[in-house]
Amino acid sequence: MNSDKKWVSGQLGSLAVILFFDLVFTASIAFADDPFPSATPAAVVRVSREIFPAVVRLDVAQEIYSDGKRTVRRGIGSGVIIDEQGRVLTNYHVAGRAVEIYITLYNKERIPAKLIGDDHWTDLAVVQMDMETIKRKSIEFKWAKLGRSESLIVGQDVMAVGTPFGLARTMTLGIVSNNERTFYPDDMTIDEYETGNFSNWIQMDTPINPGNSGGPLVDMTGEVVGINTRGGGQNLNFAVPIDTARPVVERILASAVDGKRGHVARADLGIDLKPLQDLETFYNIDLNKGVLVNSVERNSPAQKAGVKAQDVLLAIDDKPINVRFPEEVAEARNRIANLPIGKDVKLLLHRAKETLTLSAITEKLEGAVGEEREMKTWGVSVRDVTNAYANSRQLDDGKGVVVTTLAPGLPAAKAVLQADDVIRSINGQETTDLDAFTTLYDASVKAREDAVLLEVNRGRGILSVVLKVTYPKEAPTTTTAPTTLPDEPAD
Amino acid sequence: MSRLACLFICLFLLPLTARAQIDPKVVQEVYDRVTPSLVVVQYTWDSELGKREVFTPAIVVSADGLVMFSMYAVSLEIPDEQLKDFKVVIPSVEKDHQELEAEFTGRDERTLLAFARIKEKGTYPALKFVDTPVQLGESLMSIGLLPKQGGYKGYVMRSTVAAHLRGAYPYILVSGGLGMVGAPVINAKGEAVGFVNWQQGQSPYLNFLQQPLQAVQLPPTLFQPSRDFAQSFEDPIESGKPQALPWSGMGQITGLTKDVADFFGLKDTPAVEITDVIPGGPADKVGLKKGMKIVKLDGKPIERGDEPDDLPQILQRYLHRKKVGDTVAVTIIEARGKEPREVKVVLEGQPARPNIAKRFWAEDLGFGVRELTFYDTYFRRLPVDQKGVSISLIKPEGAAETAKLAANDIVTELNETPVATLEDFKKVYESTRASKPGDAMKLVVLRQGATQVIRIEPPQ
Repeated sequence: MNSDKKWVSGQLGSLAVILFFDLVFTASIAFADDPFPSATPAAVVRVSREIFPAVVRLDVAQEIYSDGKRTVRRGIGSGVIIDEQGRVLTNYHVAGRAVEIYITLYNKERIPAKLIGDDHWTDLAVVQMDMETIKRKSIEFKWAKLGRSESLIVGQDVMAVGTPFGLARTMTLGIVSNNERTFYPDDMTIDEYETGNFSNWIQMDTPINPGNSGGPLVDMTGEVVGINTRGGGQNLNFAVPIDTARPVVERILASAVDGKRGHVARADLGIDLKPLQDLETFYNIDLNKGVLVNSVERNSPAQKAGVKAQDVLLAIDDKPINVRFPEEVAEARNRIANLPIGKDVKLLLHRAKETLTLSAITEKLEGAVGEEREMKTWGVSVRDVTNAYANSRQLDDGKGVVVTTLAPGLPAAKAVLQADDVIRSINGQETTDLDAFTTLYDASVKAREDAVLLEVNRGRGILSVVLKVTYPKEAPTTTTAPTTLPDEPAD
Repeated sequence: MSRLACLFICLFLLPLTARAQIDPKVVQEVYDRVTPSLVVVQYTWDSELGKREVFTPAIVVSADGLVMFSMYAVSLEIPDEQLKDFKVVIPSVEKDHQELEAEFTGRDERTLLAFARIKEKGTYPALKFVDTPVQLGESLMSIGLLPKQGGYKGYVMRSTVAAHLRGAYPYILVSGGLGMVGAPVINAKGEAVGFVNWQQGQSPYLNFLQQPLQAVQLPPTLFQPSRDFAQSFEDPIESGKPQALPWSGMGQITGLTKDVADFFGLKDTPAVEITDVIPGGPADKVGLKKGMKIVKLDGKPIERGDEPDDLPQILQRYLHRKKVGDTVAVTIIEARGKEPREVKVVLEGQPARPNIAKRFWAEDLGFGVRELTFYDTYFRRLPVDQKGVSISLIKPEGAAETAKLAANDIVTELNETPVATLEDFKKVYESTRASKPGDAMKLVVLRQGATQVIRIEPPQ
């Protein structure tokens, strides 16, 4: 009996030693040799405890124009708090053009918030939580640390946190599927605003759904590596890389002064870039040198400088630019976008068998969607015609305003004005841009004109449209005496 | 009964007898007399992607074998060179249908009819159309043809005149139903007073039917009175040539709405505004400009339509009744408050359209090209002297489709050679494909005002 006990305890002792060594051995494999921090159960719990208090739900009312009027469209999204001043990073398509924002924090408190600035080109927006309310209610919140996205490894574990379908504080787990996803040559838009041009996407299989937009994608150290932005199908989801977001946030905050909405100013040359993959032989170009000019925009800096379609752009300001694959286009575009605006830039080009140097002056990048306003009395909303819009529709020039929506039953709709009509003049006076249009509209309404002649560009022609405008009667003032006495009641 | 009562009863009965149904004996007589003139026109659409046979009802209109049918059965979308193997099928009950070779005469866009001529010499039973106006409430017959499965048998439809429509196409509306598109319309006296042409919801084809009896169950209710297509007989189209339609060079015109008309002092005056003028065209040559309003044609007010949108077509049709070289006097108002003045426009020939443009089918890479026409450059907002060829067709699953070449792209360069004409394109294409069949081709195209460089990889 005693020997048995000894034997058992001896065995147990050996077992303990073996187990001890095992643990130490595997633990050292786990920590020392792992290429990325992995989603062990412990890590998942630890990261979620860190990140959840920094993730918020946003209930937003975005400004849109519909039925000839300025109105709002309500939606739900997610966001991540990025500093102790209470700024929240989210998507443009969640909070861009927001007129009202309510934020629900992790502790379920609801507070108002304001839009600081937005950038549709990268689908990002920065929102400010109302710090007064936070102080008043003694609300605590955490902010997330921003990590790096360039070093993400395919296969790396990541987590997405957000508000899918309004189900706040939802966490999903997955991996990085691809870290340089491009959709070139497809163009993406949000409500007709261009997006996705200046960076590639993080593709991940963490399930995200409508409502997750704007929430963080985090690695297993708890740092934000991306902003969840788009779903694409079964486990094919996309996030804006944090390395793209960082400078955008900085520039939005820097420009949001004196009550102005923050934005990102970019430079433009008017060149559409194309990868040279498999086209090198056609242009006598070495592999991996230069980028093809697919087309040059009308009236653009590049056109004015003499750049032509099929030129191969070799260098900008003596720094080489190479785009062989579609994945490299975004970075090249971004390089041009980050040039100083309004400054000379040297372009080295290869054309036919020669090399030439041209000088262009960059302009401010402008999208196709201009500023929009409502004209309530006429029952129509109109938008400034930008050069990009004029080019996309091959209009003769960038003058005029384009009709976007009409109010049924009001003068513009009754005169059979149509969406996409470009209004060129009011009562014979040219409406070169939205401000000129607004001035003439205000004057017409003030004068209570009941017939207004518009010249409208529709198709290839310019036609006359006459608005018959009615005005509400003036409300009687209190000093006006009634003109007739009421009937005396019969006795 | 008193005489007064008799008179009263007779007067009461008289209108009833006048509106009575057509006697079945009359119907049988008309049927027997008219159906020998009802035939089927058959042709093959030989497209780049395959052949398709098309069958449409037609009417023999002259004893030497001229046959008339709806222009919509030979769509302008089909390139003329692809309309092949015309035949006229004479249906028969007792024997096999007779198939006779025919020659396509052409389309008459003034009247929306098309014509073909039987090649074999003979005397064919013809139906003559008569310009007899129809009255409200009048009873009419129409004989349509059943589809192939029905042996092309004639079937009689009965109707009553409900309204005379106005506008660019002043058709007659009936209650009841008419024969399918291509059918003649006959009055109680046995006269052919109209033709059932294409209309919304109807098909001119005897094949491609979802349901064989759909034209009987949901019949047409509009027909073209004889007067509306008399021009085809008074001034027949020439065979083998595209129709020379007169053209005024006004690129776009719009009918004035009531509010716009009132604003310009044109109450109760149908008017159109010239909204675009083609540079160098007939209107431009005599100084017509955008913004001018036309109030009279050849001294007469413009025919009134049901709504302003009808007016451009009414004007178009009016001009189509003239010939190339004719003068039309347009009375215009230049600006509000100005007196109307007359301007004489000399009509020229309409620019050639895509259906007669020469084509080339690049079968191996799966795309078709054709010559550019005025319509391509005008609607695509390109300079009138734009050189190049237009992509007419992309073969599904072909190399060109994979390379994202698109229909209506305008090719300006192929490999390193500029392409100005179809010949340029063919030459470079054929020689390159022959000498280097494994090499990719580079096309530079114009798409929506911007250039695109497209690389097509040939199939392995």
